[in-house]
Amino acid sequence: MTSYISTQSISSSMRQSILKMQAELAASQTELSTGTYADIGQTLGSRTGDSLSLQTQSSLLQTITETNQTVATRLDTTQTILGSLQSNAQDLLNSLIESNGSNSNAGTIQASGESNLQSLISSLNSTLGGDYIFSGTNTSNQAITNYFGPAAPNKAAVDSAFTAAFGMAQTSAGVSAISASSMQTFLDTAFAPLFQGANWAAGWSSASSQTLTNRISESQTVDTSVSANNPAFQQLAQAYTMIADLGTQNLSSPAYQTVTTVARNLLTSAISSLIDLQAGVGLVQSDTNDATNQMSLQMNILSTQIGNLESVNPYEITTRVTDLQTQIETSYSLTAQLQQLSLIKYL
Amino acid sequence: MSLSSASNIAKSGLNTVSAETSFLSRNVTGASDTATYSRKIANVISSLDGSRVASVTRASNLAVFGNLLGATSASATQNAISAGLDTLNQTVGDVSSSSSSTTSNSTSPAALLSNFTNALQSYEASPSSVTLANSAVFAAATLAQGLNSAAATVNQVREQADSGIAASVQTINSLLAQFQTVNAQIVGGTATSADVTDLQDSRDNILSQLAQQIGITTTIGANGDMSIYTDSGVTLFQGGAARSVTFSSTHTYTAATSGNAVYADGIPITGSSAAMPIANGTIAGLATLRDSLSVTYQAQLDGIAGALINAFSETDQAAPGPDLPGLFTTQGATSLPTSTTGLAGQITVNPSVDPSQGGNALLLRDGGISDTANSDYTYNTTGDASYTARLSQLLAKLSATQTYSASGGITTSANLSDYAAASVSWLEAQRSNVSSQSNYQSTLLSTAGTALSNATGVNINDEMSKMLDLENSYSATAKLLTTIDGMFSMLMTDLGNLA
Repeated sequence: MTSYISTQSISSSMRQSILKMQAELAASQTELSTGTYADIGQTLGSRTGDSLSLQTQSSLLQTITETNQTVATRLDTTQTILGSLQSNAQDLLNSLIESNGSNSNAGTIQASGESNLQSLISSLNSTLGGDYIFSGTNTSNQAITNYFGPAAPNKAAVDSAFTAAFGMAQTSAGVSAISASSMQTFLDTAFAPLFQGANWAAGWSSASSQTLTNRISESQTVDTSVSANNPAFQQLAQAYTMIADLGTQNLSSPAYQTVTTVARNLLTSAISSLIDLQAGVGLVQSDTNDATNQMSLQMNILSTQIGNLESVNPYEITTRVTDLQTQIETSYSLTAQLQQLSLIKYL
Repeated sequence: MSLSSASNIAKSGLNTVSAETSFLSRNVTGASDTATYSRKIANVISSLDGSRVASVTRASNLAVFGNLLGATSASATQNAISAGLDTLNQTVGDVSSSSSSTTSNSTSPAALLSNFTNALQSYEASPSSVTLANSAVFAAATLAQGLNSAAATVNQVREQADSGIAASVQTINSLLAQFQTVNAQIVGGTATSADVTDLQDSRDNILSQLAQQIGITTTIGANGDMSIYTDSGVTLFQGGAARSVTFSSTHTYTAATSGNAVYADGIPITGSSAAMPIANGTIAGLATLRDSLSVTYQAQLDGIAGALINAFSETDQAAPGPDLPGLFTTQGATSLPTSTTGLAGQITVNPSVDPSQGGNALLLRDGGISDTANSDYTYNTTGDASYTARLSQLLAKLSATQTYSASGGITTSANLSDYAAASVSWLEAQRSNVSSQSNYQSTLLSTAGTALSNATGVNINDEMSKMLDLENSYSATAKLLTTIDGMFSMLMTDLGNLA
């Protein structure tokens, strides 16, 4: 049987295959220039969502890594301030121990108590990017009321408690008559409560006891601030105020000794609490650092996986492009030759 | 045998050769005709009286032509679906990762959701920042708009499919009318043994155009009369009369709209109610797109929108009151939506939290978005600038598992981000399937076309060589006539000499 082929199919088969190869060539060129499939969705099909999920996860990790910078800055600042507060407290404690209850350098001690109180207040009122970092979640307000400010409620409370107990102001020369035992009673019953509970909130602190919490990795949420309502700061404020503003330079030696003893105990306890706080912050710092490093590794893995899904092998594509070019050229020359191959030319 | 009978035979030969040459010219002219031109064959019979063209037939192959019709319909189905899915794919956009470092350029709800989650995460880390609050709300608004425009695209695809069906139905009716005329001429011509081959070609041409629109099968009766049925068996043309195909189109689509079915001869041939649904052709493809694929994708988008509204709803903090829509809501909503249908098209960011509409972005942190006058829905009762409890809760809800309607055709229980990704996967899987189907069908179509062309088409070289034969035959016959003429003259001269 002789096979029959129509003129139409000779030319159309060639035409169709050239069209197909040209479409492939265009796609290959896109792939070469972008490094990914020309139509990722169509190539990956039902796995497109996987690629999107990986991208979503990777970008979330990137976001958390960026927010961890903010967290780390806050933690670093907190740590530095805690360190300086601790060393200030330690210095004062050392001076108190050296003087050993003698009121000979009471004036110097009083002055350093005052400056320590000032630095405590200004430290706790530190801001970072407009936020008061020791204010707990109430970051728009100063954490601690300035004791030395005009009409300060904390100063007024101390003053009125003193007057109520002894019938005179702290600045009065008559304070030298206050006995050690009545000073002890005043410190325990009238003075100490000013630095605790509702009095602390009313007179001293606007801070929220709720500290800031941050997500530092996909699964880890940690406390990332220290509130000014922490007992360590209350004790420090109490000890500093005691030395700075109870007329210590005029007190009798036994009363002065009572004050310094109470202050020493408070400072010792505060220092140990501060060290605990520093350790806690340090732990969160290292957690944050670890989480950031871990996420960086995770992102590397994710981007490799995304690459595996979406990327093309450039060598393979280059070879394909070369092949296609050769084939298309062959088709062209064949078309030209077939055009010559007609009986009409010979009639 | 006489000289005159020899002369008659030679004359008939000349006639036959001329007739054959005329068919040959028809074939050569038809060779480049892309429509279904078939080779005409002159059937020559020889007898004692010479030769003559007894009849003309055309090269035909019913089986191959049937294949071509089937392949045409199947390919048209896939092309219709493929074009629609490519439009739907605009809602996904570029999925490559190269453009996405932290913010992706992709327009898919999945990518916009990811951007929004990241913005919320950044805001949670610095809750006192108005800038970050604004950018989180902005990302939320972009997400809502993304869902709106995706829903609009779905409706647009459905509207286009609907008007495509209407156009297709019109084409079918006009083709059937043409068919009726041509078929009647063929039946008449066959009865009188006229040359109907060109009419048959034209009838085949109509059939292949018809097959583009709707899958068909045909049968031929004894007198050349043809009947057409849909591939599901509904009559389109029978007994010389075309049946009408009707469709009433719907111009505007929303998520709740369902389009009308196409009726042939009064019987529905598309849609779920159809007892004899057609399998192939443009109409079948468009109907699948309009009634099935788009609807499923719409349900997925609605599922995403519904889950967003739920995740960001606010709970009464004071008394056991109803939950109210928070950041994400629909225009004028006073309670949580009960049905997700159409939510993707309606979802919007609550004006009370949107700075561009005069709202306060910080409400995202504090709560009370649902009703700024009602403090029962405020979470941050102390007004702390760095209150994070609500933001953490929102982030947790955003990544919590939610349930979705089964009409989405994908998982019914997943977290939002996974659901949105699964929706993209679903769409791309459909595209990928249809694309490979479409490639396969167009290969089949081109093979069937080539096979038909080879079976019934014209080869010019073949016709040319035939022409040489005819030429020789013509000159031989002419030579014969001259010779007979010479013989007659000789006879006459001799007769004259005799006289």
